[in-house]
Amino acid sequence: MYTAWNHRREALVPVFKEGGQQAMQAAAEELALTLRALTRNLKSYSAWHHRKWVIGHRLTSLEAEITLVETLLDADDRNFHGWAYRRFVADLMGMPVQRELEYTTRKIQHNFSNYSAWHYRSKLLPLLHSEPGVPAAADDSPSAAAERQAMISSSRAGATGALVLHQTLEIEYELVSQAFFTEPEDQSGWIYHRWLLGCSVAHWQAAPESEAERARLADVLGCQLALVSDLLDLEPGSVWARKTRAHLLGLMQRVGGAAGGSAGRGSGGEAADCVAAAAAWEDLEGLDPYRAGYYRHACSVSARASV
Amino acid sequence: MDLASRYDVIVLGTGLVESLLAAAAATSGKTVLQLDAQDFYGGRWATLSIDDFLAALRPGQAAGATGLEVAGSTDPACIGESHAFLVDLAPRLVYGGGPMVDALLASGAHHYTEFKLLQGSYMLDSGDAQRLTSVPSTRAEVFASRDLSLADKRVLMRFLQRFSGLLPHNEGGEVRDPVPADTHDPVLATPFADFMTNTGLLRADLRATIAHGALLLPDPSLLSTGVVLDRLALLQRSAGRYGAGSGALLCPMHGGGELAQAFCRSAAVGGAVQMLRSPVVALRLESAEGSQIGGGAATVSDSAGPKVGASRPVCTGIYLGTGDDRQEVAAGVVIGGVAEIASALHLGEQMADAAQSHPDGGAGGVVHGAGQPCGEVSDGTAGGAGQPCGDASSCPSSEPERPRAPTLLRCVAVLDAPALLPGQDRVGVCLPRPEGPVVWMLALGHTLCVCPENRTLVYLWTEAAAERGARSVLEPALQAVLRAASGTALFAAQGAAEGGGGGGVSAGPASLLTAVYYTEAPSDLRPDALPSNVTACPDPGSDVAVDSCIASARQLFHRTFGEEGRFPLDPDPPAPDAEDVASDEEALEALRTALRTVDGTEEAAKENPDLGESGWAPPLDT
Repeated sequence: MYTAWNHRREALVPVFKEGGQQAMQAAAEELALTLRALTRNLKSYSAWHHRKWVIGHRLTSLEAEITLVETLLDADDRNFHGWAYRRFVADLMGMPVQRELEYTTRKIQHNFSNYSAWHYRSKLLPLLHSEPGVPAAADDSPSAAAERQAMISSSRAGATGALVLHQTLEIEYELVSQAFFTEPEDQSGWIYHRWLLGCSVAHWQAAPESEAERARLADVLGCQLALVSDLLDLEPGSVWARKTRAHLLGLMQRVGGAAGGSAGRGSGGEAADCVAAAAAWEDLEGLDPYRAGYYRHACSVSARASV
Repeated sequence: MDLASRYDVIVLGTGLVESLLAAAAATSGKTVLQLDAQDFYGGRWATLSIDDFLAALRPGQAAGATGLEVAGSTDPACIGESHAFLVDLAPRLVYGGGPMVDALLASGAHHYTEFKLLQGSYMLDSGDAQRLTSVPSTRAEVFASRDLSLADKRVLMRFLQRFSGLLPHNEGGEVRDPVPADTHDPVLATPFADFMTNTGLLRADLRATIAHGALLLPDPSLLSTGVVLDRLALLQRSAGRYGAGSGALLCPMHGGGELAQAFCRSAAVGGAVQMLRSPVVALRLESAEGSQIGGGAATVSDSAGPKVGASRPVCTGIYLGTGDDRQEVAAGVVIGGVAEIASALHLGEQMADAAQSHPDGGAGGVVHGAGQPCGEVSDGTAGGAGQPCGDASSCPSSEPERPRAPTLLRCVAVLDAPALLPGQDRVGVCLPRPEGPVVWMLALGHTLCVCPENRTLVYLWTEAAAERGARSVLEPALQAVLRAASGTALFAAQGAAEGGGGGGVSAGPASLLTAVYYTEAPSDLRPDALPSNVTACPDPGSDVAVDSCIASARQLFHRTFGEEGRFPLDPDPPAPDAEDVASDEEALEALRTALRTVDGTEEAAKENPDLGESGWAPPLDT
């Protein structure tokens, strides 16, 4: 079907180039057409792509697109096409990051089993609450938005370079723990938690000689381990909780192994962690045999790291 | 007023259940005459201005109230103009996906009603802490709650999942109505309190949160799990129905009396005739053999009444008015509120006895025997518990069909703040008590157009357990909630946010201006005192949600008119469906809306927790 869309696009190129009333009308017609196509199949890649192409010409109202996407996501908040489209439009519009962040917060409050919302959040946080990075600001003025758009576009590419602030991470850990205690079987929260751990580790990786960072990381890992262990007391069969615990033990092993020793975990902590991590992975093999290979691999990786 | 000489159905009173029956009868083609002695609709379910409310509380008046105490002033200079308030005699909520909404739609009465969502459900814990904690009833609310520890969230969720697991689901994962609770499944037969404990809710406060807070149950040890499942299904159908994350309960705008009035209008549309300020009504009775009681031939002749086991008399119609102006109207059946029926029966007997110059006379007092009401409508006797005459054992014939309706303790209060909690002027609070039944509370503000902007109406009610007056039970409860509300972190945060700049919607914690306490005794009627074609409709009772009235109305409809045929206020059964998956269906609807928006032919509704002027949207059909 995409060849037909392509053909249509080729025909439209000169029309759009002309600009003016004709072009706007044509654009509106294209949007109506894609809407009818989407009505029949909300997950049609071709229709979404065509729509993106049309609005990219900026001949139509982008606010209306946001309204459309919000309506769609209210009805089905896990449609990743909708979320990807929203990111695209937000980018195009230079939407303030704060507003988008609040949108994800709202969506998560309504239904936290929403991988797309957590994922979008993971893309936005580094833009707003990180060092170095775009300074936290929520102002809406068009010039600021345009300026931001330039900053966002460049820093989206370089987002991996930004370190999310510690206090932001604390808030996010608290939020996501509400999710996995309410519903331990829902993986979106756990995956976001994994990303948060990565953010915490990144601080130490950026300054490996800093004892302060290492200690802070060990602290965070210790807290999270206690939390997950509490959950396991209530739900011993939760595979994701066990996976996260094993992962945490593996991380603690590496952090504790650096110069300066392991803060507050007692002597021989390092070796104990190694054993504990290995044991945790072995338990998982039994509990979740479909992924036995993954667990065996993880076990061997953590064993190697301790040598 | 020109009345026909006969109506299929005569309805005495305009309370909610009898109005439901009037609407049902009218839409099924019967001729209906509906009368009310008052000059307002609703009877014991009415919504009234302050002055009318206080008048209705006088002894023998519409509310059936006794033991009235007023704390504070009802002077308009103090609280506000009387007509600026709309006070409910029977405050109620409506489940968003429940049988009342279905009935409103089926009867067309929804055109006359508007609602707003209840904004918050809270519980005041009965321990020392006395905090107001929010009650979660959905997974999203559990997630968002700031009052539950992480471990509590897990325990609650596990319970909810196991409990929901008892509901039958169809292949699409949608909840079906549970099987009627007379199955022999031992789990369903367990008292719900035990089921909660067995399923991990070991702490009393968590059990109270679920049973009283989320499910609005009075006493979980008295209800089987199977029966409570119905309530859970209702809750799941209602939560989120009017927008993602919205609550399950609706508040009627302009007061709960609007519901009764809406069904009256619907009955009128169906051809019913209604008359307020109707003159005095008495029932005209005939014995089953056809001879008229009291009008001529002697039947009831000795003071002990007819022999036990004599068949019940039949009501052939009513007398309207007294003396020379008296009109007779024939009726097929008579329906009415308990108080109205009791009064009409009593007057009928009085007239019959007066006509026969009977020495024992029914004038005043209480007389035994078939055809006589056993418990009089409460008329202001001290204690006001509506004690039955003599003791039950001296009354001949079988045990009553249903348990006695409870005596209620009620309070209506006015606060001098726009809302009980900041930003939430429609909240419900339940207060479980170790020493007695749960106290229920509703705080409703001007967004429902029931009071001025700077005031809040608060209702408290509970079933009376011991011989204590309304004020001694409810005043401490009210004070406890006000203290807890003023102490909540919400206010502290609000104060900080406003930076002490004043202005804004909520200026601070609410304080009490006026409180009116009273006891509402049930009007009672022994079922065997009723003629065979007379149906008495129940009083409001202590239920928080109004949906149980539909079941009562349905049952009474079938008892009165026979079992065949569908209850006219039930929704049409859904048409057999194609294989559309629910989420695609909703997405389609969403896109159609979006299409209209993009075309600019219709303003799309913005996300807004309040439902705006038109109240609520028709439910999505599955």
